[in-house]
Amino acid sequence: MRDVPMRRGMKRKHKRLLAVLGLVAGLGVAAALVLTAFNDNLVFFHSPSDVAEKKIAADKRFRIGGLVEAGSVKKDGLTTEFVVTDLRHAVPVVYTGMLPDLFREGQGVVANGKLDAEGRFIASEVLAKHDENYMPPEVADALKKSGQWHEKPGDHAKLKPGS
Amino acid sequence: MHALANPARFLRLMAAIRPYAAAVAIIGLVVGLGWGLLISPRDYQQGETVRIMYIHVPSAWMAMFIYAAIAVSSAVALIWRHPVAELVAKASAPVGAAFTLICLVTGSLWGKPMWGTWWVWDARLTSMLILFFLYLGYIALWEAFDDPSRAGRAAAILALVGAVNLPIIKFSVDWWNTLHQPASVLTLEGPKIHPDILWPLLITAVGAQGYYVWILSLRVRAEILNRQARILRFSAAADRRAG
Amino acid sequence: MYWSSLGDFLAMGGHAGFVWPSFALALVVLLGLGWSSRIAMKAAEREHAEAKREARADA
Repeated sequence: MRDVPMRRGMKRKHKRLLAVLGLVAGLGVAAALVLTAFNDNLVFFHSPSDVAEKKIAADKRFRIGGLVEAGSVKKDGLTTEFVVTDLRHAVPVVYTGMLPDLFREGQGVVANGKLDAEGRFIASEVLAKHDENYMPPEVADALKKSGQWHEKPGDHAKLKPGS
Repeated sequence: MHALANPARFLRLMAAIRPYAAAVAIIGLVVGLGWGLLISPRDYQQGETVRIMYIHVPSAWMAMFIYAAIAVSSAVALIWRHPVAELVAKASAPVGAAFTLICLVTGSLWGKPMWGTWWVWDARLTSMLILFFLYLGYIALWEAFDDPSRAGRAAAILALVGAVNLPIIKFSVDWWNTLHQPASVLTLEGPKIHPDILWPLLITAVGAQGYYVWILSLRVRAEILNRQARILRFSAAADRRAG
Repeated sequence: MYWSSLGDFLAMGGHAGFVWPSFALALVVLLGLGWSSRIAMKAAEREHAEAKREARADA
């Protein structure tokens, strides 16, 4: 007689275990579906390849992200012109205003603005994108001197052309 | 685990661990942050601002670790009706919320000089803000019910629902283009941080873990004693009515 | 030691206004939480002892 409530207790425990597992699995699937559906809105910036392939409307505001092409920065007073590249496509950017500390050639940037008729990106805001590497300046200099410095996009801005 | 279900035994264990946790916390935080402030070099791009990382990164890890601990304890509490597990979860929440707040504010203080903005709504920053609101909601839900067993169940379900956010935070920088940089320490190729910067970071992180266990041992003791006091008063009132 | 002078240390390469508030916030939040947790534990210990005493007095 005594093992009847015991067995019922075990059953209830299993039911609760299944309910919790079901809740977590269901939520995981729901979250994955929602995130996939809103994928485009969760992207903080578009790459120059996105711009080339998706043909973003000339008057639509968006953010563009990529590397500042080496040798492309031209300053004229407060106005800066530079080229943002993902090493497949490149977009010229014009910006008037203060640049963040980390802005420099070869560095990742994210600019907010819109394309003009000539395909230039007129930015109202430029943010520097930091990379995942941390090292003392002497080490960076030593790496550059020894030729071990890798200027590839994976080392700088996270870029996923066409994603 | 069943041995830990006994509140008295759990309290004894917590009391035994407490001095060690406090030592790990104080030594880890003083050595890690002292090293980070006084000895470690500046970063080749960020300059001295890199020192904010010694606070920001361990706080971010703790914010996620403690939420994961709350979710696991909540699952144990829901399935096995484990009385200590739900109090461990409840006692952890303010610590996790504190680390999340520190992570958000120091990230903002880093972002202004480095990125050029205090805040952006990218996937990493937004999912971290959601984590902060989950902590606040979890704490509020415990207070919203008079009956602790109902409050505990509602809060545990919220904790499990919110756990979906953890992988989103972790992988947001890989899944979407974000302004926030990708992972530096836990990567397939190994850490991308120079050892002179990595060591103080890891020591601070160990100190932060010690701090969590230390504070948890204080708060869990408070929760268990309060609940026992409540039961004592209830049964005394029931006895008076009966007698 | 990385710093050559106390002034350099406090200036943080010109970013003192960002570095020091970060450390101050962490210190204040962690100490405050530790302090309030200790107070909560002491209060719970008193409450538990009192409930126990009352239950014993009733019996």
